[in-house]
Amino acid sequence: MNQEKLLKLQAYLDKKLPPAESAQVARWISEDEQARAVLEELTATKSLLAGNELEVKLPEGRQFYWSKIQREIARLETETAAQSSSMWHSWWARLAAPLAGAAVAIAAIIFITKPQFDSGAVRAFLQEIETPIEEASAISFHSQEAGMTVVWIESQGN
Amino acid sequence: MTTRTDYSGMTDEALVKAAQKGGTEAFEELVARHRDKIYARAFSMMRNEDGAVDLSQEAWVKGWQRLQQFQGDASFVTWMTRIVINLCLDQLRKQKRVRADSIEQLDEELGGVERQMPVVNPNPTERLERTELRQRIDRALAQLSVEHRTVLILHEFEEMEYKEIAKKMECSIGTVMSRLFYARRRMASLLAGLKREEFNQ
Repeated sequence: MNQEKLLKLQAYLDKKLPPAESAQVARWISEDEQARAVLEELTATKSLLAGNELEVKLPEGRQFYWSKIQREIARLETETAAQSSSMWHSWWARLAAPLAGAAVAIAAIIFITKPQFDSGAVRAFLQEIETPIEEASAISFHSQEAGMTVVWIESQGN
Repeated sequence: MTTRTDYSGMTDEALVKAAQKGGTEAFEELVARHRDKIYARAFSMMRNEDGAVDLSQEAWVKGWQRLQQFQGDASFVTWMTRIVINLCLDQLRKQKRVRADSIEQLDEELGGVERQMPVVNPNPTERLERTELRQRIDRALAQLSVEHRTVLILHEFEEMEYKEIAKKMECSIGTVMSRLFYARRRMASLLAGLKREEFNQ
């Protein structure tokens, strides 16, 4: 008997064949003594196993067994919380850096282009520093070596 | 004054709902109820006490992590059993990678050995005490190769379909059928043999 026929016998036992094929196999079994013998053996083994699995008891006590599970659950939950917190921080940092850059750029553009900042007043302030006294001139001297800058302010009236 | 909930009187469904809300005490009660069954399945597949304890505990941790996904389509214990089976199969796959298959195992994989096996009668009508019969079956199961034992357990004890077993074991339905056929014939032979050995003693 070939492998295909043997597996068909098993499929017949497990009720996995379509009705037409199942009827065909039933006819074959009734005519073939060897097929009948194999089927009987398979059926007997299946019946023996059904509901006869050995009942095995856990070799550890309830508290001892649970304590390891509990520790692992706690460890994983702490790890997950830490991961989600660090993910939030890195997400925020990734978002905050370009936001800050954009904010600085926008502020700079507004400062330069907006007339209501009264740039004239700023310029006047700078001029006043440049020439604090009317009709005065200034000469400056800078020495790189000495690290020194000297400014002479001279009133033209004097 | 706080009142302590009596979890032992609650159904599995109620305990699962309580555990889904974060109640570890409810989950502990589920573990206490079903730990033997989950351990037994791991042991039957791994045939190793320490390994089975570790895998069953890992299954409970996974169960807790995935508890929100449990919809109640199957019973809680069936759902947990599927988790421990998957973990055992992963572990067996890892072990297989480092284990060289024997020539006999390769023959079994390819099919053909079972055709030469004589037909035996495992004698199911013999009057045996249930415990004794179960012990004989367990001893015979221990003598099967990992692949044959796994297919037999999944089909006969877990009542899985060929297709589901094939998916879990990452093989074809034809391989499942072939392994199951060999495993059944080998079990018949082993059970008949165990009987003879006992008579000879």
